[in-house]
Formats: sequence, C-alpha cells, structure tokens
Amino acid sequence: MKYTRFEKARIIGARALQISMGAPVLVDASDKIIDPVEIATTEYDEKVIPITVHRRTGAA
Amino acid sequence: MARKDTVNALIRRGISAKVSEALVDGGYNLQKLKTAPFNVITRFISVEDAEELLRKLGIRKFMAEETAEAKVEPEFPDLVARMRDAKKKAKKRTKPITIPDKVQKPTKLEQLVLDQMKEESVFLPMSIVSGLAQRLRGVKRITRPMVKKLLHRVNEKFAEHSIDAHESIGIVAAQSVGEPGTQMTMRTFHYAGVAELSVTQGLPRLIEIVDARREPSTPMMEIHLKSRITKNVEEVKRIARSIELTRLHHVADVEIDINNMRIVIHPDRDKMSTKDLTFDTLKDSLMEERRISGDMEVEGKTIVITSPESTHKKLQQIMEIVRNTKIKGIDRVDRAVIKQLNTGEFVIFTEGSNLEDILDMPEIDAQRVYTNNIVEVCNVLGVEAARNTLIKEARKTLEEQGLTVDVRHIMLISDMMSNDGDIKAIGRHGISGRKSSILARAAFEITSTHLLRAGIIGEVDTLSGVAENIIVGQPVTVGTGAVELEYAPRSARKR
Amino acid sequence: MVEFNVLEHELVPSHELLTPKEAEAMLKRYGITKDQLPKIRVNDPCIAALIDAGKDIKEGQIVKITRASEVAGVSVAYRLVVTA
Repeated sequence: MKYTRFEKARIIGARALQISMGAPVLVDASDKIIDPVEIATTEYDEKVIPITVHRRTGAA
Repeated sequence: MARKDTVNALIRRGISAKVSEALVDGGYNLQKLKTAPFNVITRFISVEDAEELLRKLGIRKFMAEETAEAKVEPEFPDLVARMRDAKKKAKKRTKPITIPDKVQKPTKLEQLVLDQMKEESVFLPMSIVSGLAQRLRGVKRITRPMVKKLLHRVNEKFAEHSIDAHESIGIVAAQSVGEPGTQMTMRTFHYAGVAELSVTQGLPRLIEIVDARREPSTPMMEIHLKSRITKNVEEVKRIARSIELTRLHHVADVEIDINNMRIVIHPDRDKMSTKDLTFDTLKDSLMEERRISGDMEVEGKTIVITSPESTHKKLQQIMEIVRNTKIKGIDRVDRAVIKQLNTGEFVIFTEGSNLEDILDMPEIDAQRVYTNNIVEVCNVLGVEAARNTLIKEARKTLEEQGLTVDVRHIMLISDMMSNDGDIKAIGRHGISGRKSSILARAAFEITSTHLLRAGIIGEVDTLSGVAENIIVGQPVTVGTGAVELEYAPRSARKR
Repeated sequence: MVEFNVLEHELVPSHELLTPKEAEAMLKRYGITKDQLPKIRVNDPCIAALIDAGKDIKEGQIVKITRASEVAGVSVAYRLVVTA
C-alpha cells in the first residue's frame, strides 16, 4: 500500500516507541544504529514492520 | 357594547350608518381603516362608498394614488423608463426560456482516452485527458494496449503528485492567504484602469470580500454592449448617460413658496438637454412619484405643486421628496463612464451596482455584465456565479498588490463560503459561528457567553474538531491524528 | 427576477437535475448521505430558471453542476436543493 506521509510518520513513530520500550528489532543493524527512530525507519524501508493502516471510506 | 361604540365613532365622522355597520362587521375600526388597503375595504362596501369613506376620514394618500392612475398612461420616450414600467408589471416571464448547453463535448481522441479510462477504472481530471489527447494527435496507429499503457503510467505520476488524504488544507489555505495579507497596504489607490473611478483595493477590499459584506464600499459594474453597438462611441455614450441616475434637483431648481403653500420647480434648460430630458419627462416622472400628494400645474416654463398640507414642516418633507424624484436612470447607479478596451470595444463602468435592473436593458450584452458586489451576484445570478465572483475578486485583489497565491487556496475559501447555498462570512457571524463544538466557538470569540449557555443547557461537545482537541490535550483529528493503525501479520503485509 | 436567462450568463456554470437513480448512484460512489452535500436554495435564480424552463425541481433533489476549472479543466460538483 502506498502510504501517505501522515501514515508513514505514524507507523514509524509507533514502531520507534515499541523499540524504545524494548521490543525485538526485526532488522540486523544493532551495532551501527542505536536511535529508535532510525531503527524504525530502517525497518520501514525494509518493509518488515508488522503495522498497517486501516483506511475508512465514507463518513467518520 | 364595544361594537356599538365603534359604529358610532364612524357615524360621528360623517359616514352613513349602513356603511359603518358593514365595516365594523368586517372587523375594521377607525384605527384600522386609516391604514387599510383600498381593495380590501371594497370587499365589504361598494367602491363609491369606499371613496366617500376615505374622503370623510381625510386619508390623503389614496387620493394621490388615484389622481395618478386617473391620468392617461403617458408615452415614455426614454428607454429606461419604458423598461422600468414593463418590469413593474411583469413578475412572470413573458418569453419562455431554454436551458443552454454549456458542457463541452470531448473530442474524438479525448473520448477514446475516456473510454479506456472507464475500462481500467482510472480517474484523471479532464485537463490531463486533454493533454494526453493533444500528445496523441498525429500518431498514426493508436492501439488500445498503447493507450492502456499510457494511462497507467500517467496515473502513476498523477497519484504521486496528488495531495495526501487528511492534509490540513483549511489551515494551509488560511496561511497562504494570510501571509501575503501582511504584505498588503492599508491604503487604497485609484483604480488603474479607469481614471475617474476609484475602487477599494488591497487589505480593506480583501476584508470586505471575506466578511461577505452586503454592499462593498465601492460597488462597481462593468457593462459590455451588444456587438453591433460596442464600437459606436456616440451610441455607447448615450446609453451611459441614460443609465446614470438623475434626480430632479440635478436638472431643476426647487423652491418652497411658503406664502402660497406650494412648491415651485424651475427646470434648467441646459442641464436638461445634456441629459436628453424633455419638460414632459419631468412632469411624467413627478406624476409617477406616488409619495407626492397634491395638485400639479404647469405655469409657463415652471411646474407648481400645490400641497394640501397645512404645516411648514410637512411642506418641507414634500419638497425633499420632490427634489429627490428619480427622473431618469437606474437606481443606485451614481455615475457611468466609458472606456475603450484594446479590442476596440467600448465598455461602460459604473459607480454603483444594480444588476437586476441592468440585465434586462436591451442594448447591453447581459451575458457579460460584471459586478464586484458578491452578495448581489448571489441574489441575481445564483450561488455558483457568486462563487466564481468571489474567486475572481479575491484573486484580483491579491494580484493587484503583486502577490501570487495559488488559486486553489482561494477556491477552497470560496467553496466554504458558498457551501450552504448563500454567501456566508468567515467570521463569527458566518462559518466560524456555526461550528457545533462549544469549546471551538468559545476559543474563537465571546468566550463566556458560549460556555455559560452551554453549561446551562447541558450541551455535549463531541471533540471531533481541531480546536477542542487542542484544548483538552488530545491528538488532533487532522494529519497524523487521522491515521488508524492496526497489526498486520506477515500474511497480510503487501510488498 | 429578471427576464434575462441567468443560465446563459458567463459566470454561471451548467446546472443539471439528477434523476433519482443517478442521485443514488452518485451518493453510493462517494459513500455519503444527501445532507452531507453542499446546498443550493430552491429559490436560487438558477433553480428558478430551470423551473421556468420546464424542470420540476423540489427540495431533496440533487443538482449536478459542471464547472470549467482552471486547475482540472472540468470539475463536477453536486448540490442538494433545500428551502431557504
């Protein structure tokens, strides 16, 4: 799915929060990057984050 | 008891017993009769009795009306007056109308593309379809797979450039118009186009537009004429002069003759000729003016109005009405000037706007009449035309100051203002005041009133908008706040 | 009201009445209900003109407006007919 920039931001943010609280990392880069946001971004680029967006059509 | 008193009151005034009784039975008393319309009274009593009644009660205005109607309908040489007359009589159309076909039909190539789009369930705006069709022109063999491939590629690009959902376009539009607003001057300049007319420009004008003011401070119309007349200077000048509103005091001296309780009017020959007016036109216009009661006589080259009024003050009032009697021209149009455009055609610019009366004038090109009075456009041409005028005026105001704002921001503002079918202001009297959230309205203006009233009634705020969520400290429902995340197991994830 | 047919004016785009079927299809395609549409008054000069031209337009019906747009070439909008 082609995510909007808001969706991307939200996904990376949520994943970064999980990582910062100790969740297992799904990509192998532990010695190079330590910042949760950077890790999450890498995971996003590798398309391994198990989070997606539920888009609603019609009224709220 | 009361009925008898009412009947006696009428009898004492000199009205016959039978008529009095009939009137009181109809529900009238002395008070009501003074303001009752003539034709309603004649339902209960005969016309002659009614006339006598009114005379006895001393109700003058009916007499004034009657004298005007009793005179033979005069011939109006002036085209504006003729049209004014016809308009007053006709509340319905005299000619049937047809619905014009304004939707442009697609060209063959465009249709080809459109058909393919429908098949592939692709949506592209017409401007892109036209562009695509343009590029396909001259290509010898156009096959369906070729178009299909093109469409998918174009669609990809289109999707890349499309705005993201949940983008906060409202605030972006506000900023995009507000920021250049800080660069606008407060002063108003003279209208660059026509030297004689000055139109509000800059920030004051933008404020007028956004506040949906009923009447702009400088209403103006731009009137094009029918093609056969538009290059004829003399003809255009004549029409311009006939549009300008002329009142009696512009072409005549009006004096009060206190000794004889009358008003004397001395027409000025020169002024009258520049306005193409005749003595008779003056007389006819005065007779048309219903508020003047009394008799009119011609003494040589002057007109004399003898008033039955007794006090000086009332005579003064009548003189004011006489002075301001409209002789010629269209209401509210104070000035009309002519300008020649670089296409060679002559155009009339007016100070003052009256769309309704102008549109039915025979010599003008009604389809192209333009006014800067947006609310008037909404009333006469409809809400869609008002929306277009809103966009045009806002753009013009910004461009005149040398500022470039993408039209989409202005289009959004116009759409919001015209959303309900009429033109609503942006401020608390319009859109902002209609918000359903109490907190949002309280945060905007007049805080205590909203909170107090809501508290008393026991209202509920559903916290669905931006302002209220900021107040309570929750994520806003725009942008990232509109994203709903869910867990996606590996099987559900798409590459 | 003017004698002039306001639908012919430069600033006025094309106004068409939708059939109940067309209206329903449109609402379904956008996933909305009638009241969520922009509105147009039943005494709007363009609606009055359409009525004079023979269309029977009442409250609750939907009008399709086809505008010439600078950004999109052609832009279609819908308005729900409401009383004042």
